[in-house]
Amino acid sequence: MVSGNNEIIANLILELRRGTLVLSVLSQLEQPVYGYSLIQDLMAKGIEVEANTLYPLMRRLEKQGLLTSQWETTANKPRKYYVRSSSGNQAYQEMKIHWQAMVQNMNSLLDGGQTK
Amino acid sequence: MKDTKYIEDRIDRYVYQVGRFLMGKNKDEIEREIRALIYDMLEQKSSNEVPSKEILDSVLTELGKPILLAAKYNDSTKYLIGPALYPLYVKVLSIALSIILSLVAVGSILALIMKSSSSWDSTSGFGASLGSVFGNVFLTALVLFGVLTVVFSLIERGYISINEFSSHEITAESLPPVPVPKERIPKSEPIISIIFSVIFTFLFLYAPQVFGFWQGSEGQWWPVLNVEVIKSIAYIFVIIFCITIAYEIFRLVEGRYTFRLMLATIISNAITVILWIIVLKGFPIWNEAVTDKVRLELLNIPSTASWVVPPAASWHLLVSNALLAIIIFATLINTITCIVKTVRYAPK
Repeated sequence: MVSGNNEIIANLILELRRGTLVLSVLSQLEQPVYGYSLIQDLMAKGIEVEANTLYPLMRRLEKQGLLTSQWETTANKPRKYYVRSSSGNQAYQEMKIHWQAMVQNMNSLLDGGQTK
Repeated sequence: MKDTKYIEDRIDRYVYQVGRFLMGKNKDEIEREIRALIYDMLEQKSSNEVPSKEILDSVLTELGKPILLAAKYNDSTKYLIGPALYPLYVKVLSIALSIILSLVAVGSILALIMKSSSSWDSTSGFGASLGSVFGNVFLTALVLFGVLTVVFSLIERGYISINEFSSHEITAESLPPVPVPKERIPKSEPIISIIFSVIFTFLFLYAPQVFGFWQGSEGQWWPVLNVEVIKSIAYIFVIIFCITIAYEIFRLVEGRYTFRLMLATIISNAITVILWIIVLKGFPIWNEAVTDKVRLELLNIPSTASWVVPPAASWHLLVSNALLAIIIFATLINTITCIVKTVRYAPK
């Protein structure tokens, strides 16, 4: 019963994190970055994301026109670099505003919950 | 060196497996990207040395099963039958299949009883006939399963439209009224119809000898149908069966009188009647031996009196016409009832 509950909580936290993933990724792609180094960058900043989630996500964002990509073949290993497109920049700025408002609203919700 | 070869080979295998489940034209590029990712992960985990098998295992475990990784790349909205439609699919499928499978017992027992009580085809054993009956019904169930799946996947893709999936925005005005009992088509109606259709088709296809009579004095079963001819036109009965089943399932799903159900009724009834006309007028389906027997013995008409009583062919014509008249009359009544109820009860 308890382990069942733990699993539910773990899934809820996962969903919460998933919602912030696009914003996290967009925030780091002002300059071209390849997938695996982005994973490590995010990890260093405390944002954990798995490769099998991030790679398909970046492709999807590229398909939506928010990212552009280019294969870099001059190094010893070919790698695909992603960077925000102009519409990606716009989306990022708008999402950032929404995020900040959301954090504020959520905080007031959560604080309100505690005082009652 | 051997290890490097092993690692490369296993990476090839993994990427190939992912590729098997990828859709769309970017397959090659995705494969290339996954390959690059695996090398990056290996490099990071093995600090630039030749990675061990264990490290490769841990990387592949992290990436997950190829089919699941591919699924993340594929457009997740691509379903054969999506989550919205799935409950209806399961409902219709379970009703249709359970009816057919429950009829396996009835049908096979009936066919076997008829078989053992008559003299025809006693070459195969009891077990063999039971086996063939089950085999045939299993095939029917399989075909039904296939047809339903195709129909629902066509609905899913919008090739067949149902109200619940139409592209119109929902408005309070557009909601159909909750049908009062008399406006509803009771579920039992199409279900009973499916049951009869299955029994009828089953007997026609696998035991047309069942239609006949028992003559106690001679201890013999007389089939009234020409079994060979019936078997040769089995496909017509299969078409009639498919039309009936498709129509009844549509009726079951629709659940009330609507104009498109009326249209389906008219079309399916028209096709069915045409097919019956073809069967009854186009093929010598009656057993001539029985007609002669009935004419000569049961009705006590001597063979010399053929000038008094029409020959067998005329009897066949008479029976065929009478049967056809009954079928057309019943179909007409059914169609008219449906039209009247639709005009009266269908949501405008």
